[in-house]
Amino acid sequence: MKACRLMMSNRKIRILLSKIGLDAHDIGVRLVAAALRNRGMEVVYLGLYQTPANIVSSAIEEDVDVIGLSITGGAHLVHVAEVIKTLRNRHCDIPVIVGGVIPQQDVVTLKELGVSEVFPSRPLSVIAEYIEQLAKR
Amino acid sequence: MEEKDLFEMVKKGYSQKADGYSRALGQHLKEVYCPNDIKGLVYEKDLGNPGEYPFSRGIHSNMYRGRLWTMREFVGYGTPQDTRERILKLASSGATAITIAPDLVTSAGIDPDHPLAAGEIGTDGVPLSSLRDMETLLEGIPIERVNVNLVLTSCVAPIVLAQYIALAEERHADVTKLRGTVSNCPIKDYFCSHKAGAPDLKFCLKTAGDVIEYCTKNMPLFNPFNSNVASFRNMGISPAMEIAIGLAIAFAHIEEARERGLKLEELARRFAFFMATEMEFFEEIAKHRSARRMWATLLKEKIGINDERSLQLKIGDVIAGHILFSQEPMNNIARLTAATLAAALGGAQSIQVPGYDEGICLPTEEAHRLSLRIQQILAFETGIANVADPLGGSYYVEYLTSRIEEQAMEILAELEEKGGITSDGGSRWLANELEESLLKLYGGIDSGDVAKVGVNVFAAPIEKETTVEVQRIPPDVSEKQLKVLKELKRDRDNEKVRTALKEIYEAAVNREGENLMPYILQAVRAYATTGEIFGTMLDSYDIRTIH
Repeated sequence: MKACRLMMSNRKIRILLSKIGLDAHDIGVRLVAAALRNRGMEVVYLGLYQTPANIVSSAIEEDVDVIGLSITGGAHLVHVAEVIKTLRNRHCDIPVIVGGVIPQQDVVTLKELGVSEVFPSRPLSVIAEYIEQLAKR
Repeated sequence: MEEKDLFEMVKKGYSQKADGYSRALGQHLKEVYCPNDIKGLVYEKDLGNPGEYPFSRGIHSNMYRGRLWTMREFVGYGTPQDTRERILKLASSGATAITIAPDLVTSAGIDPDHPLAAGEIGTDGVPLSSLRDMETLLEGIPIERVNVNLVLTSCVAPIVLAQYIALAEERHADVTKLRGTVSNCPIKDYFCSHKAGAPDLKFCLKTAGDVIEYCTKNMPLFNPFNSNVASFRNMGISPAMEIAIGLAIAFAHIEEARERGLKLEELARRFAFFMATEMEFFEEIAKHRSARRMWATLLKEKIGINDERSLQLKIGDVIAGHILFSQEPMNNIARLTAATLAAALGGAQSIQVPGYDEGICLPTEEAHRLSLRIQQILAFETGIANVADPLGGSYYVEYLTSRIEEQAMEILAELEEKGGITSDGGSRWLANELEESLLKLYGGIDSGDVAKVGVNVFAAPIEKETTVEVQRIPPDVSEKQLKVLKELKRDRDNEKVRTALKEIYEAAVNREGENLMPYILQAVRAYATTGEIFGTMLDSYDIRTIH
């Protein structure tokens, strides 16, 4: 159920990208933002020091198709669990993808938490194509 | 791939060739360099012997025969106890200095009980929330004999440095004899996104200035700051741009110090560049030589400093994190070795080698030791340290040295024309340049224009990627640190803390330009926390940030 989203046809894919917590390494997420904009997506980038609550609120307000989180500071398991929990509390099923410094061992754990896909150091085109597929569903 | 295609690839591979392009220089190179390419070079004026002005060939006459470069490892994870144990292990493997990485909570100037600290305590460094944590971290480590580098965001730097000083006082160590560095580079923080612990450039320049002034007057052997251009380099800039930014940062601090009436010679003597070494080998070696020559000549001619030691630019290198990849991570060992070799051949004073698992996690104990081993093998097995500036006189290396200098001079002139690095015009220009470099480098890696073996060329399919052992943060770090904090607040003299914090506030508000270091030190001695002190500083300057 796309409970939180307005269904519209032919609109551009909208994605919310954000850093979360105190990790200020934003080179990766800025590159992803630029690449997705180049592919014609509408990117809402929230910037540094965001909390799960404001990420979820912004995603709902901005009516995005996908939430992309960038985490390089090692706190990915804690932060992602919190975002997923907040989404569920608000009965929202916007898919979440994660990028950053993520050990292979944690990819499975993140998916078990409810993350659609994890991109540790993946080509930008792979990320973009995945988002396009995800938004079509 | 079918076998017939495979051997088609082998056949094609047989005639592979170098493309002759230098990404560092942004130009194609000749096939060979000859005397003609350096004909303008005058030995005495442009090179000089090692240890002689303009120090192109190194700052000491005997270089590593006098003392090898300092072998640093960047340490910080879990609790202060966890980090201490890792320090001891590295020391027992032969590390010759310690670099402390505080966690993101400390770097942001908040305490573990702040809502934003959840999940971040000890995950990306060590928590240093009060003098208590510093005591635990360095218990039994003789700081009067070990060179310690504290890596900090500039506005939090005075607090953690004060913890270090207070620890030395407790042990009755001679503070004037302490050797080390506090990385304290507000301009880096401003451009390279460390806004939580460095929310406002003017405020940060003030607090950085306080640290510089305090150390210059009280801790003559301690380096109170460095031009942290390594963080800029990770944004894909050229070596020439790296030098130009380093110099621009130095000039900004020299200007500040002049206004405070400090002796510029004393300041310049304690100055260092913290640079990042990349993969283009000869360009990286040359970069060190260009940087030293420019530092010496500009300081002498532009600023009017004649003191010999002030003109010797000390360079601390870190191997650039962005040359390391999570795909086939063992390949990083080869990358680290090549870059470390370049740093040593460039005549670096210290080298910090990241773990091969950078890009996956904080270094495991094995990765940490391996980084140190790379340095030791180069220092003790290859003979490269025997002779100063062994590549001096190479037509190619001398050409590169001059060419990088030429490019850096152009960038410096452009930046000055825009009003300087701290001006609105200059910082806008620089921010645009950085954004462009970023997209060019990482876009280039993404598209395959910048070849990375095992990543975008000769890459294995994703499902066959190597999984390596991962450094885990002990799960009870947060709980432990919250307990330490709670007990601290229960046991300390809270009246003393309140008075000390009030004095910081009043000094900042009522006495413009007053150096806050003595007041911060007083608060630290009373076991005020990092968050309490930083909060007071922000309040007194009326700065709103994430706090």
